[in-house]
Amino acid sequence: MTEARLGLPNLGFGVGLRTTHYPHILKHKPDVDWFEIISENYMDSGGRPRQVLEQIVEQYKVVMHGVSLSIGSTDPLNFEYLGKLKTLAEWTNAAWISDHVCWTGVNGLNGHDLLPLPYNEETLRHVVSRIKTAQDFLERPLVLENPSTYVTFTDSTMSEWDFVTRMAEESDCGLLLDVNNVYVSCFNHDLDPEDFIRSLPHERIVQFHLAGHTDCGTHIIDTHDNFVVDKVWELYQLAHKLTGGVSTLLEWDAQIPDFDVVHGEVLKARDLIQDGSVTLDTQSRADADSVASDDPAQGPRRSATVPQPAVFVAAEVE
Amino acid sequence: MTKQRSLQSLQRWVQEVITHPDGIAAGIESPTAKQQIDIDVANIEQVVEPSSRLGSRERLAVYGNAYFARLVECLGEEFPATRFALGEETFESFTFGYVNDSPSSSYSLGCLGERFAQYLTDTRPSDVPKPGWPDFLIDLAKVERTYAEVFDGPGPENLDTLKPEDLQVIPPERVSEIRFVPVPSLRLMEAAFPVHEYVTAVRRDRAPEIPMPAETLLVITRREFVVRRGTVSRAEFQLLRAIIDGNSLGQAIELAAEVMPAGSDDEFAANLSEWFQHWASAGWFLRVELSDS
Ligand SMILES: [Fe+2]
Repeated sequence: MTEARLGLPNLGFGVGLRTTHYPHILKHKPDVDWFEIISENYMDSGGRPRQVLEQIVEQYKVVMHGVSLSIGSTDPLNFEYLGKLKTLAEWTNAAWISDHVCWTGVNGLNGHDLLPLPYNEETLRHVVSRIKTAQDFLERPLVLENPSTYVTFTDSTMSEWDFVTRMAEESDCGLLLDVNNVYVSCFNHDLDPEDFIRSLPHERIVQFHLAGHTDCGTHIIDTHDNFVVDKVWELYQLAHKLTGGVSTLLEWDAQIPDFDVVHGEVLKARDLIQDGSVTLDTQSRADADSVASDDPAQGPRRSATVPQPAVFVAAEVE
Repeated sequence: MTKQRSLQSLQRWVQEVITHPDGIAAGIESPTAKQQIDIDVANIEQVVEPSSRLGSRERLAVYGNAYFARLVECLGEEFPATRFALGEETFESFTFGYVNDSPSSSYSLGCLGERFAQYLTDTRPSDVPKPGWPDFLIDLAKVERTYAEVFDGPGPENLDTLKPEDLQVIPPERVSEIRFVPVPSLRLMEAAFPVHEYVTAVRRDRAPEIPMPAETLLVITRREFVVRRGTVSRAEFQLLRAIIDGNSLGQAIELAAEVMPAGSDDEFAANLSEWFQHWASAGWFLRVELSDS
């Protein structure tokens, strides 16, 4: 039998570390349970991001979250990348390393997106063998997240949850359940998010993600630019009940508000599982529930709704 | 159901289709995509399922739009002054062209802007006299890229840097033999416009006007994790360049004098000690070395 959370600790309620919050965090040392860092923003840094991270890891527990592992790609695994990931994990003493059940490019290119896989036997064999190789190399389990997706393929022969369950069991990896992504993908693919969550191997879930999204009417885009919607909070409660509680993290990546607002949002999760109710700010709810216009058929090269990930570190100049 | 194709074919097809500059339909019809999956736009449902609310093509277009939008947005954060100078729309179309020309092959978004200035150079309209508007943009992109590299690259913060008094212990007869070891972040850049001032003004939300051309010789480095920049005279710039290339001070002075107008030797002699003091106080060098030390 698998130990709950693969034996990994429940770190409590954390926040995704973002550059805009560096000064606040360094100055006020907020009482946050833990931080999640974007691995790619630190693995090559010789400047401010690395220096800030050195101070963060002295005071907080961190988890590494990547967006470029591309575990589902048919290109070869990038061992230079894996090596840097391992080195970063060693010096940050990361509690675990996560990435996504996706691919980000082929033919040596990176589209910097979390692209969906067809869920079938071929993909399963491919992904399981790569997870095993990466885990052997990293000498620790990988924790893989369900991405928000916008298409499904006729090549799929099984549901995403069956795929993820078999993938986790056959490769012995952990899962990062992004509750908002379940909601987004299920809306986009006409599926029931509760079925999704109920069908997973709950003892393998190591971490939850929560985030806001943008409802475009015909589809939902995972923008991480808002408060968490009520439906997602309901799913979170269900996931909490089924797993017995795991590390919970809030992601906010665009139109990022003050640190206390972001931290306050993840603390709603704590209140929710403690008292069974959570008070949402009316204004923020109105924003979170509003429908944005993003007509993909119009093909705008650029719209306000950029799906995650789009985390870039800008330079500070005198 | 269609016959099972390989994961590799599907991935190559998806990438080709969503990164096609003319959109999903053009992507599907492109020979490269057809090599992987030979279907027409009308048959897209053979590969991508529709949802109850959205057709297959619109669904795939979410990825196509996101691909360009995300990368254009990241480039906008790396090149805020170039974006301001061009205006949103033109910047978008330039970066769109760039992403198309130089798609990312790195796991890091930090490498995305690496070739942007080169792309602007390669596509510079040849009928505009130099230095003109295109050269201003090229210089801007160069300086912004340099700032990004200096900001996140190796820096001097944990290293001892050269102090003014370190120079006083050099025996006068051996001064010409010394080699200055630069801090790892030190960069020189020559521009035809005062782009450094323009960038600073944009970063301070000052909405600057496009400046008149003016020879601008920049020294860019980092101190306390913040990018610092300053300008130097032509003579000092040439000397610094020769020094950074690894020449001894004596050789460097000779090399610098060669590209200066006749009679500039005096300029070196008159300014050398002042320059040394400044280089030391600005933290541009780690130390000086004598070949036998
Ligand atoms: Fe997530």
